[in-house]
Amino acid sequence: MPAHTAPVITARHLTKAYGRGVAARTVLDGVDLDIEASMLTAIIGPSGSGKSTLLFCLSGLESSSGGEVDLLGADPARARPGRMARLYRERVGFVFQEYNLIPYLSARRNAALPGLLAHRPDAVSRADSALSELGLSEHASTRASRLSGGQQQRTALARVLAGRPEVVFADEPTGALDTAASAVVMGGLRARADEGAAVVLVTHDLDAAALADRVVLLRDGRIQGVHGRSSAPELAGLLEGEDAGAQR
Amino acid sequence: MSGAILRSVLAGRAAWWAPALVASLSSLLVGICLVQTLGTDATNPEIQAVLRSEGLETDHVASVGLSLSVMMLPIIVIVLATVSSAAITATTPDRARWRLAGAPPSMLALFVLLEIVLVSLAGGVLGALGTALLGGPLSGLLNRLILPELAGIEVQPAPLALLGAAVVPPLTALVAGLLPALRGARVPAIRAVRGESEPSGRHSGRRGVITGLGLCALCAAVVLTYRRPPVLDGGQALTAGLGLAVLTLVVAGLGARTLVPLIVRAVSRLLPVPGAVWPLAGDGAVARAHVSGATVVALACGTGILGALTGMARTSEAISRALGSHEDYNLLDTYVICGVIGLLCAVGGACVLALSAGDRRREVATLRAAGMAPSQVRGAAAVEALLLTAASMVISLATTLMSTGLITRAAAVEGLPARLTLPWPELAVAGALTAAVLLAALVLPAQRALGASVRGSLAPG
Repeated sequence: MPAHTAPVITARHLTKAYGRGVAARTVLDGVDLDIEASMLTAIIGPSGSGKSTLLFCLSGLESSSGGEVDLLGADPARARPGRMARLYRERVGFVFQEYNLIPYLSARRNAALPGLLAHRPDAVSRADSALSELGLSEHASTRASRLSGGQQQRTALARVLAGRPEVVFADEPTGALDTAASAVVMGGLRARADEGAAVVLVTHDLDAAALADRVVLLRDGRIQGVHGRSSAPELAGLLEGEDAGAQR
Repeated sequence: MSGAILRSVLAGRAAWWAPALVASLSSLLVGICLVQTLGTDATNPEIQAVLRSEGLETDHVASVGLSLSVMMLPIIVIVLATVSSAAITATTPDRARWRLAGAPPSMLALFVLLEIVLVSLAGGVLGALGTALLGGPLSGLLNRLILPELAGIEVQPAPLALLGAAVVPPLTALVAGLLPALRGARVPAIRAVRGESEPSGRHSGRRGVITGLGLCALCAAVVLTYRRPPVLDGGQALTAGLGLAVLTLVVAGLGARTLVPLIVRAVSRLLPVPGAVWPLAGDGAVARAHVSGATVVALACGTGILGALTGMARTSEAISRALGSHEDYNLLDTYVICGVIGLLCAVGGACVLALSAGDRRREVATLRAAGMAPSQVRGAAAVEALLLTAASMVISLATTLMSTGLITRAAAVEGLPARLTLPWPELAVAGALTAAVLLAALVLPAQRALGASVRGSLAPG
């Protein structure tokens, strides 16, 4: 495991509830978490445990109901939208399960988007080299809507590689992919972490989580445990153990 | 099975508010015109007395409402067709499920057409109720605008006018809904159920052929009418000019998905602005051709008719002046007609854009996650509005040229001093109003999308 550095993301007493009054449903219940640079942190847990909600609250794409988040020195709840936009195009990257590319833009322009929005002169050349690294050179001029699922996800990853963000949030990035495409995407995320980025991965895929330096186990909106690098069977055992514990 | 499909088609149609709104507004406007025509005719002694005292013909005022009703019919067809088409696109996944369950396309087309007619009938009934309540005062207002001396004379809504107001929208919907219904039945089932967008270019060949055929028909009509133009006296040339204007708009409507992206692409290449926002807005407008094309054509109907009518009037005025007349043409009634048509077109255009708000919300959320600043989001929406305004004005200018050119040609053939006079001030005002409508219809939803949760907006479905 890489040496510990100062956390780039911290969450204290983070809560998130949907609805109000008797209909209120607590999804995150007092989460305390530190995410360090140069680490791939996987968040796993059963369906409905609040994994994706935690990722979105940490990233500022969803507002929390209580507690505090510090993302690269900014509090997403209080920061002005312009500051958060700058943070997203310069220092934070996202990979989603649904790809979320702009369908009418080419793979090249999708990959270069944060750089283009930041008026970076080398945005397109960086996007081209990232696409080439992921084997998408010949599809660089193809519209995103014409790419296959795996190609779209690799384009989304190329956006992250081209922007070289300090923090990467990945929400089920292999959820809709086959084994080969999953391996490419996870390899890219692992490489970003090795280059110094803090990568936060939410996944159901235990093989993907096994590539993480640290695994956070979430259940009913609470952190049940934080584990070091573990194999897929060990993680399965942890999940089953938690299930058994919950049933007892 | 057909009963189940029909029930499904009629139940819970959130997208049908737009055609219903356009149908009810059409009904109200036609109703007002019919009330004006039937209440201001030779049987109204009070109005006839005023007309006689002013030295005017007995049908001087009543004919305005009738002309307006007739002119509005093709405009209602085009606007209703574009809005219905957008509403049908919004409900594609429902039809896709029925296709997967084995429903034949002909049955789906029939039910979609029935749906458009029923929605229009509902709008027509609402419009007729509105006419019963407001038809009298608003027709009186129309009369006052045409002839200020008619102020204060009440016009009563005739039952025939109310009936006309109720039946005009469903009857026009039968024509307007045909193409959207046929297109709606040819749904790519698997792709639609998965929520995947249709690849651009899938039907571009067929669209190109339809646009080409439409342009050929327009060219043939222009050659025929320009070679032997109708005589100016008696208003035949004016009628033919107006016909050419309507034909131009119909061709633009049929070829909207091909022509509008071409114009937008040309304008964005003519004005290359550095930065990410301008090309993004241009690409967005081109990619959303089904929305931007319908919006542009709906708005161009209003500005094109304004350009055609005022252009023909200005050219006729210029010919009269060249012959020694010093009389200024009073275009007040023309402006009233264009204002009424323009209102219908603006509502239609705004409805089409409103129906695509869901897609835009998702796109804005994706761009926010990629780091697009709120000012850039608003800027992209504003640039798209300006590009669509430019496209709308290109079509309007073509419409104006077709009709105004015919008057010039007719005058030249008759040996009169002919000079093409384009109504630049009116077109400039129309362009400004179009830009205002599009800015409001694009920037306000973008602003609302900025306030929404990114996660909620990105959620599938």
